[in-house]
Amino acid sequence: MKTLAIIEDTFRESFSRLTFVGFFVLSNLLVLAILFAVNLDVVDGVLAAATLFGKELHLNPQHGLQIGPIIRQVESAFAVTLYVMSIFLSVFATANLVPHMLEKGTIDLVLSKPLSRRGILLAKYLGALSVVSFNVWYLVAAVWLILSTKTQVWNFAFLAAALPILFTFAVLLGVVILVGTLSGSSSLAIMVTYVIFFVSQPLAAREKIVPLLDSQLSVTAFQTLYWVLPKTFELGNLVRETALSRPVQSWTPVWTSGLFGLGALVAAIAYFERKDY
Amino acid sequence: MTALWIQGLTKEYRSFWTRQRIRALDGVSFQVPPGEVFALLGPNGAGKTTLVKILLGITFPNGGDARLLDRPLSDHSIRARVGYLPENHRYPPYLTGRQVLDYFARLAGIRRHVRSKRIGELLKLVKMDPWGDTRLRKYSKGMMQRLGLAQALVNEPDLLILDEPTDGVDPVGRREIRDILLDLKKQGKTIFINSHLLSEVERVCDRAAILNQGKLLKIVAMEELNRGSTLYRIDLAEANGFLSEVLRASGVPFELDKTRLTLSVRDTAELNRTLDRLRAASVEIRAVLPLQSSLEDYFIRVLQEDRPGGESQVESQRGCSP
Ligand SMILES: Nc1ncnc2c1ncn2[C@@H]1O[C@H](COP(=O)(O)OP(=O)(O)O)[C@@H](O)[C@H]1O
Ligand SMILES: [Mg+2]
Repeated sequence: MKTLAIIEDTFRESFSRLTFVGFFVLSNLLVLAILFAVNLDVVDGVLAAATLFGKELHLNPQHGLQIGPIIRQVESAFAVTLYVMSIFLSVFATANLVPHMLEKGTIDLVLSKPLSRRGILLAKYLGALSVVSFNVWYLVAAVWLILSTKTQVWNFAFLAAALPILFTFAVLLGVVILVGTLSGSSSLAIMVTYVIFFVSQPLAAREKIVPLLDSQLSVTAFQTLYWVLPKTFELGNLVRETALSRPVQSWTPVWTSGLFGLGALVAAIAYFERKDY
Repeated sequence: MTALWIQGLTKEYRSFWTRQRIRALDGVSFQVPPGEVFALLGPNGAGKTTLVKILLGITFPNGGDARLLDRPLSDHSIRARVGYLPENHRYPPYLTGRQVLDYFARLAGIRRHVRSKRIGELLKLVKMDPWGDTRLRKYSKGMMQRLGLAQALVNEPDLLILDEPTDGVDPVGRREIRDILLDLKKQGKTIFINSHLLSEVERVCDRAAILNQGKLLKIVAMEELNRGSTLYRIDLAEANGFLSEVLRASGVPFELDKTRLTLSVRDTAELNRTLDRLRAASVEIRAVLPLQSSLEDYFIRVLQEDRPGGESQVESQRGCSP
């Protein structure tokens, strides 16, 4: 019940803040943009004409195109866009939750209640995850509904793409909470998380990069970084594959990233439990 | 049973960067029995807030031990029976007064049907009922303090810990807070108040401890303070070498600062007897002024004695010492 109170309060706090309201407004703008930009004329399951953001797509009317595969491709591109956008905005919107709780006068009150420190931080984690889940599901479902009604192709795999998006956020939220707890700074939490998010792309290209490195030390360092840090690039691919309803090729990026997120959260709790406020 | 049991509590803050050490508490020990109103007094930076934070698990001690309602501090569930008003409390500004009370009541584990009734009563008690549904953004400092007090009472605590409860409150508000505390005292609650405003706590508390630079200097019962001795200030024409001898022989507690003598006598008869002795030693007296024996005087005296070299500046001695 106490955990629920903290989660509920995280919702109230989030929606009282400009960052989160901004996230929500941007999401709705995106939905509206898709609503008006995508125009597809579907005749008997065959794409007759399409405009995307006002641009006419040239299709050969004689041959026509099977609508299903095209829509899946378009939707998987949307899914990746939603992935990057959701992660970015969600990290930005939730980074201040822990630093704000740690402010003088706020933390004193929370800690003086009959709660364990571990429970407080976990509840904060769950609160942030719930708020973001709410928003991501809303966004993905709205986009899916628009695309589906317009095309009459009901690709349920697109909805499932919300799962890898939320998983990636759950991993990065561990970092956000760790840096927030250690430093009390939301800007630093955002910066560190973004760096981790971006560095995943060059790290994922390790097959190409490693042969270019000259010393054994840098090779080991590169490989270690690849294995330790969350693999957000591969997880982004997973989002695309999910939207295309392809089977998961490798679970390794998933569980290694999950381990990293868990490690970050455990480290944050260990620090929080000993810290003087 | 004790409401509060503190033994040799020590806290050192260490700065990570400058490696500077601040000893905020230095072996503090005392106990507070249930039902007592206990004040911890001390100048700014004495360590009062640090002590309270340790009791509530906000900060951890380096040494010593403490118990809250007979339970070790590591047992966080005991805090369900403790109410706390922090020094600089901040509440979520996006909430209304009523929502704040509801939120903290939930964190304290109070059931819904109990909460709504209790919150209504508390808002009335701290005279905030017209503001219950206003967002905190619009509250003044004094209103926040009242809300803070209501928050501290929301779980009907057995032990109430207040850190500077009248800070930023206007005189009328202060009196109201004092009345609330007197009322709680009648209900048998144990109250622990941190304050540097002595006149505020004097009327409420049973005992007071004086803390300075992390050390507990004195614990005094209010009864003791108000009972026996009345203080008189005596201005002398000139300092006299025999004065200390004469006074020591009289057995009356005194303080002598050059030509200013402070006597602590039981009654006017003792005052007159002492004056006779001084006159007999041909000490010329300019004026005799009665001083109110208040907590403030006591406080200042104790702190002066604690000052390095304070003994030499203010000669102070109990009459019974050799
Ligand atoms: N978090 C902290 N880090 C370092 N020093 C601190 C901290 N909190 C308090 N202090 C120092 O400890 C001493 C006691 O402070 P405090 O307990 O707030 O005193 P009081 O409440 O009696 O005014 C002061 O010298 C203060 O500067
Ligand atoms: Mg203080």
